[in-house]
Amino acid sequence: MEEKIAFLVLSSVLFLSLIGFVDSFAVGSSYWPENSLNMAPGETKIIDMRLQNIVGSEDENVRVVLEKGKEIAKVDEKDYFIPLGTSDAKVSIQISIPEDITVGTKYPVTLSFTGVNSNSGEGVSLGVSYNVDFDVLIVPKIPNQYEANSNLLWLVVALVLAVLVILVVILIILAKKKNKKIV
Amino acid sequence: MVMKIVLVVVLCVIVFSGMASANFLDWFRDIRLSPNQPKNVSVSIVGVQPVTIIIHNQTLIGIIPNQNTFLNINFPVTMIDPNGANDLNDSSVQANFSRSGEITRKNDSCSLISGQNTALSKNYSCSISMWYFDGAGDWSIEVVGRDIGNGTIISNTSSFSYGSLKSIEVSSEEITFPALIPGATNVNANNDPTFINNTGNWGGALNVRGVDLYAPPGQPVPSAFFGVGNFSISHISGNECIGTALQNATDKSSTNINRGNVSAGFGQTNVSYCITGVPSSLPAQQYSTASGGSWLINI
Repeated sequence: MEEKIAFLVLSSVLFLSLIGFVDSFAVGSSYWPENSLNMAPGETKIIDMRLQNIVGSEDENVRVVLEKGKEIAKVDEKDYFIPLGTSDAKVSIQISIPEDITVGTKYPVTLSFTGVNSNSGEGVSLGVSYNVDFDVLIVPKIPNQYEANSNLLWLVVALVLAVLVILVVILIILAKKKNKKIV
Repeated sequence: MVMKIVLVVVLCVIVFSGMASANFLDWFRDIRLSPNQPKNVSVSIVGVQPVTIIIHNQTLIGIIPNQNTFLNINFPVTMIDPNGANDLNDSSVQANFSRSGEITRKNDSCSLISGQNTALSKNYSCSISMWYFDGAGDWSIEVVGRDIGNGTIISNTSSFSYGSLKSIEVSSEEITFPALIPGATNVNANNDPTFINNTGNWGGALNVRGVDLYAPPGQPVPSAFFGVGNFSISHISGNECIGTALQNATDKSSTNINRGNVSAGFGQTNVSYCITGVPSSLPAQQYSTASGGSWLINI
């Protein structure tokens, strides 16, 4: 009997209290599953995710991890300090597309943003986490209009030069014929 | 004879190169913008003195909502009237943002920017507030104005992209369970549900990622852990003990969270918790997330 009471007393220690912060950071993106990032083979771009802590009650630390798309994307995976009042803290992602990739290929990219709060160690804490997903869609390379015009310009210049060379040759031939007649 | 040949050749070069879609004369023409650069688009009304509105949307790039509040989006507009800038009705310039299925956001009175008038044109500053729950995607910009002389209404349209924002507010800071006895079943948390507000414009599945609870330092059996598989959740209070079972370090969805005006009662959901069973073999001591990590509410 004594043993049973002792057990119940000990059991009362086995309670759970879920404590923790109300995480209030946010993450914004210009790309999402229905709004792909279009890139051409061989192209490199840097895009930004935007962290906010506008309506929270304290500073936040946000852990950024690249979960999917490591073959094309690079991000500085670390804890980002987001002071209260921040509306536009940038997390830059570099995306590089190989030259030999087929047009139409779709790369899914996922980044996780997790609030890293202090954990008292006495209970269970709750946090907030966001997964930001988007696709990188490989599209044909669009030639730069100025570059294209420039190429055409060189073509025309080459044509003109060719015609001038022909003209000079004709003139030389005519001059020689004239000289022969004089002789 | 020689001069004739030279003239013929030069004329041939000009004629043939001019027939090409692009030729050396392009060199002297304007430098074109590449397709992905912002452009000003203008529309003229013919039949009266042509009046033009130019919407300068170049700065409207990478627009992201502000969590739980509005964002003022500012852009300039130029109105040009060949009858003279004085013929423009300064109080008539209005702008709006619209998108199918969304509330149109507008400014009924764009303001004149002083000191920028020319003989034929005036610049106006338009500011429109977009809310955190307005949908992500392409929004149309429409600007309307009027001239004084003949009262002509002039309008022009353009567009910009409004970004996606993931943001939630978890209202419950503390959830507690009553004292537990090993072997107990279906024990509800005594201060749930956790209320969750969507303070962004993304809507979709809301997950809970639980982790096993371990004994914090100083407990009698440091190696013991309380498996999170003994917990379940539901967005319907009363159903949590028959709800979705949690799994260690895995997102488990119990409901969706929609976007909407939280103040008007939209964009909200909640989560209730239950311990479906306390293992009889579990040592009676404290367990916490100190070493395993916090539980996460994830979208």
